[in-house]
Amino acid sequence: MVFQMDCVDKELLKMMQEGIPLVSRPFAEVAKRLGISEEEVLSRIRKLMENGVIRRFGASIRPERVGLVTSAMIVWKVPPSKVVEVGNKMAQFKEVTHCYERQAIPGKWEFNLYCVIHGHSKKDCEEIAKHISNSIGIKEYMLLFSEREFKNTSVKLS
Amino acid sequence: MISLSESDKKLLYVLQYNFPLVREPWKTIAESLGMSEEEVLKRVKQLMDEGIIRRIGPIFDARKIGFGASTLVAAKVPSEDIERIAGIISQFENVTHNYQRKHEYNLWFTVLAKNHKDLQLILEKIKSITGLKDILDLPTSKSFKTDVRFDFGEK
Repeated sequence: MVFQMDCVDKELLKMMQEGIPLVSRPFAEVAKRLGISEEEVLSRIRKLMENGVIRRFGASIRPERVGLVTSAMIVWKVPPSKVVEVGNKMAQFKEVTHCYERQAIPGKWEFNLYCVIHGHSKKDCEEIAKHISNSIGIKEYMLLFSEREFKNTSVKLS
Repeated sequence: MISLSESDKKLLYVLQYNFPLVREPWKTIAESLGMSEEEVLKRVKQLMDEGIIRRIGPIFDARKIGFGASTLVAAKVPSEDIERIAGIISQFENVTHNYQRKHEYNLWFTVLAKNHKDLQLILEKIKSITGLKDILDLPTSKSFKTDVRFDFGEK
């Protein structure tokens, strides 16, 4: 499962994880610091994408700054035999940014499918949830609105 | 809140969905949007200063770089103490997301670790430092989607 990266790959990823430099030829700049060619930087990035180490390459944005002010986690109670089918369907919605199956804790926490949505308001999120619920045919769910973000980072290579 | 122009929306779309992996990426973007390279770079810098763009670079698959175990933890925290406890938890490097949510379980955070054993050790450490007792450990069993991109094109 873990892709074997050589030390150049690792250094390359570490160098870019806070973002590429905003200059005309950013990959040449990275290449210079690593002591390899610009072409090699680009081909290594492509290879890391093919291997799935880099899920995507591009901008990460803060949705709350552009009007998507409310995010909610929705927890769903789905019959175990239907989780895969329902999860795949849920993942198709563009409002859904994350969708995971998690083990329920019998007697304490029965929800087993989770998604995160972003909307313009709480009401907007509630409508999105209702719409998803109708199309996947799951009626038992709960919205957990985020009231405060204490941390939101991506995983770091060290 | 900042309102985006039509050309900002197009720019943000390309930057998120279609970033060109070529020698001169800004120039390629500029050509596709009918702008100059200088204009694109200037606007990207502004959108970063305004906090709309967090960064531009690779987004990793945690599992492929050695984080084989992950969980979501829900905790019941006394509301008057939530800021302090959330602060302690956020300091852990393995904690990537940490949110206060409107529920009896009011603090929700995600933890990544190399393996299950390390993950449990981190959870034990968090419990002992914060004194939290009532937590739900909700490990991921299947991932259907992780795609934090936003298309402002419609509407």
